Amino acid sequence: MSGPDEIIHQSTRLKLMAALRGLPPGERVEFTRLKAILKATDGNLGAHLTALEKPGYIEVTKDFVGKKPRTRVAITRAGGAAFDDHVAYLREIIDG
Amino acid sequence: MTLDKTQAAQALADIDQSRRYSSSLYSYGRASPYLIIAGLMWLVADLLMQFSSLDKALIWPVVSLVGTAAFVLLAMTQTGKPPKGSSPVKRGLFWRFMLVWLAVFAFMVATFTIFGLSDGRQEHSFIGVFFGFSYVAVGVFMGWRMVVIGVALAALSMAGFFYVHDYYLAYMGVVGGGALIGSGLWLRAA
Repeated sequence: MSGPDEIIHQSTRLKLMAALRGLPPGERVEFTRLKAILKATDGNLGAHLTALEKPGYIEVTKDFVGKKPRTRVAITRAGGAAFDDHVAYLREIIDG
Repeated sequence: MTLDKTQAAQALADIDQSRRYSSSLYSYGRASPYLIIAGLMWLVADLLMQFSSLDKALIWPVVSLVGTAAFVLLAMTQTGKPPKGSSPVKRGLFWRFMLVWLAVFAFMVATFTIFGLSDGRQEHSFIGVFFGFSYVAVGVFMGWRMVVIGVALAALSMAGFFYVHDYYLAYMGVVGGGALIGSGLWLRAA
């Protein structure tokens, strides 16, 4: 049995990765929408995004729409694979 | 770190919930502008049909052409260049949208031909009911808001067919088009 992914396992990060994995490949989600999905504060979500960005699990892009700053997040291939492995690990526990 | 069965089950439940919620919001965001454009087409065309002195045979074809152009532009925007490192799944999505649109159009023409519908009321109501129940079907997978929109659209179309006479086209424009525009805004706000 493979072990858990220590970075993904944390509750908010797990939900964050699940939210990103539920979208079509390469699709980006806006920061504000992620906040709504996870019911997280700006600071809290920002910290979790940094934790996932460091190992290359997500890609954060910042740009402007008119004069308004926009932050979008997408799961990377490495992140998708790590998440799938973690889910497989959880299923193995359930299946005994 | 090791997890027991209860913790693993809880984690999987959280994953499932997050995935479904995120997927619904994504679909709502995608569908919203299409609904608004379709609603505007319906509203403008039917109000012109009811009240204007323009050539009635041209109103819906012209509005449909303009609306289709808007759909094409929107689809091109939504299926634009995929981000770096993404899979090529999005490629070809634009043409799939166009094929679906073409299939719906062909279905309408075939249906009207087979059943010999020549009365504008029948055609209008049929289109309203068709799209209403289509939204219900899509909503079963996308999220409950689409189901509510579909039921409302189908019910209002049927009510118009049976109970509205003098200003039927204006009714269908305001009710059908208005319902779609309102629904698009509702989905966007989700």
